[in-house]
Amino acid sequence: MRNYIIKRLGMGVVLLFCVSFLVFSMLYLMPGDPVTLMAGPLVKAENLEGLRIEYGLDRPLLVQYAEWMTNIIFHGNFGISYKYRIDVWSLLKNCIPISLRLTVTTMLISEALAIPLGLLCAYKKNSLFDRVTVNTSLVLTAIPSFWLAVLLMLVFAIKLKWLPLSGYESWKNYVLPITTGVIGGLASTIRLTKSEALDVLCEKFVTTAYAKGLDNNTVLKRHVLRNSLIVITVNMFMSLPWLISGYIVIEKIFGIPGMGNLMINSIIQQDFNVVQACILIITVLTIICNILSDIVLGILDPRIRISVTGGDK
Amino acid sequence: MSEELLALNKLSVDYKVKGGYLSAVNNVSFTINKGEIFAIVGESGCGKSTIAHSILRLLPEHNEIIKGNIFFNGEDLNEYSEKQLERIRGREIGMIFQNPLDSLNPVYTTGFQVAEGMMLDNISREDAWNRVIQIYNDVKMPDAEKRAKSFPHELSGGMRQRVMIAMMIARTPQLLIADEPTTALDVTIEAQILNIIKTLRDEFNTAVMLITHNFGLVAEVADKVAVMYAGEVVEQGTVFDIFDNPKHPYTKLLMKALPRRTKSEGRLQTIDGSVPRLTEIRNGCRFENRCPYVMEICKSKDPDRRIVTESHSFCCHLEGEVRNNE
Repeated sequence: MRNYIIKRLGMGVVLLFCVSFLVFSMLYLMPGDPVTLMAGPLVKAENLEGLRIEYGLDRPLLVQYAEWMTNIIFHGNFGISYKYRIDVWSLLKNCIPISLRLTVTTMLISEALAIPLGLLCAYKKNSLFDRVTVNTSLVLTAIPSFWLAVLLMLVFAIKLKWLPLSGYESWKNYVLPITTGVIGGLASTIRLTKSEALDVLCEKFVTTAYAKGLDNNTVLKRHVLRNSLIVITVNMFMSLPWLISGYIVIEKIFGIPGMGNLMINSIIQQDFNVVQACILIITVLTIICNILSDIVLGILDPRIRISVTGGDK
Repeated sequence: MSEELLALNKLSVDYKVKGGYLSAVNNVSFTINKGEIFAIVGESGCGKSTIAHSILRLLPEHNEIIKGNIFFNGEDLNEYSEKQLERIRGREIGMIFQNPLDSLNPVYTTGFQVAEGMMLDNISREDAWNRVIQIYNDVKMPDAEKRAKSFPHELSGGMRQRVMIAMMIARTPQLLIADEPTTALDVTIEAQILNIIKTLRDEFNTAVMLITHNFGLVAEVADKVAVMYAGEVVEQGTVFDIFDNPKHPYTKLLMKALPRRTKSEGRLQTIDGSVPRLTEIRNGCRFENRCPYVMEICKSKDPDRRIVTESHSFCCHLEGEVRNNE
């Protein structure tokens, strides 16, 4: 198991460097120049050169990349926001917890709802319950999140006045954004759980479990759910980074100053360093989730553990 | 000795399929006594496994209709509720499946899976575990302690089938249903598995319902045989009745299709045609389209059961005709 984890971590680091370089060069190739934008139309062109030199933008791409990476790795320094003229990290450190809180809560609620529903749907396949659940969740997923967000605001914040319209100070502010997020992701998890559980239900070892004399409940929990969980868990970990990027729109609508909001503003304002930092952090999260899901997979499925490490004896 | 354990009475199983019903098992009756090895032989799709699964109500799709009675120790399992059946499964009737890899859960150790059933009898984890090791030794599992901690994919096919048997005999059931237990295994392992089954019968007086398409295996271990064709038992009797004095044309043809020791007999004889798929209700003998002795009456009237001796009976119009003429 230890070798397995070390191998995964190593791969993760290599991947991280590849992605960070891509991100860095992509923005470098983008039209427009942060210095022009920062200075505005009134500053003369020859003066701009001075600014470029000051920010180190005149040097070759590789040199800039190397400096950027060393700063991040050794000093935790993501550079300076061209727009706000402050340290990028001080911008990010406020945004990341907000975004993480949103996404992790959404994920947990969504899985807690979807897994039992999917399992029940598989067990009562083609029943009324199954059809209603699957179709309702599909319809809900088909609703675009920006529209749903506005609708929820209209009903619960403006008409009923139960919840605040926007902001991020108390838990009440999070209810509507999280609801929007949960509804968006519900159907896919329900369907995944259902199809996984259906596959497992058809397995012969489920018949064996019944033949042993186990009752329905035990068979479903111990044999069906346990085996379906392998794929569901992987899906859960892999969906976390997607959720963060998926929250860009929702954060914008509800005025939550999370990573998504910050990133979209920075892209519009060509605030290179902030965009790079945001993408890098999402990449790191993706890679961490990948490694975590691989590790959890190894714990859940002994066959994988053996095939990668040659067995832990 | 010959105490009745399991008696099927006019058992029929129909599967709901698109546009009607498929008659998988029709009007099957036989009796298995305590301590007896009863073999059901027949070609693929003749309903052998369906009988086995319907006894414990383990048919996968739940779209079947079971008619008739399944008397186990005098009680009709067909009338039992799901809860009552749970107490029969594993404890009174064990069942071994065809493919031992698919039949074990890949994410639990084999030992746990064997112990799982035993723990239903309210015995402690340690006791169950010790008993697992003991049973592993009984089924001649090499390196029992280590194997109990192994996962199914770490074991060979023969070992997996031993696990399966261990799992099903752990609670010393009165009847063991073995659904083609050796089909997926090679011949040397087959012999060992059969030995285990025989020993089990001798030691615990466990009755065994052995489902197979292998006549060699039947000759080796079985006491009684039922020959099935297209969902019906066409002939049944003791193993000597069937092998020495086959009456039904199908059984006779099967006997001719067995490989003999001599090469001089040339090619193996085969039975022309294939098993009919019985979606529509029809009268007449089900073997009619392949039978070399087919007569007019076979196409319109179901053959009656004819008794040869107390243990030996078969279903065919032919012998009756012949007997009338004599």
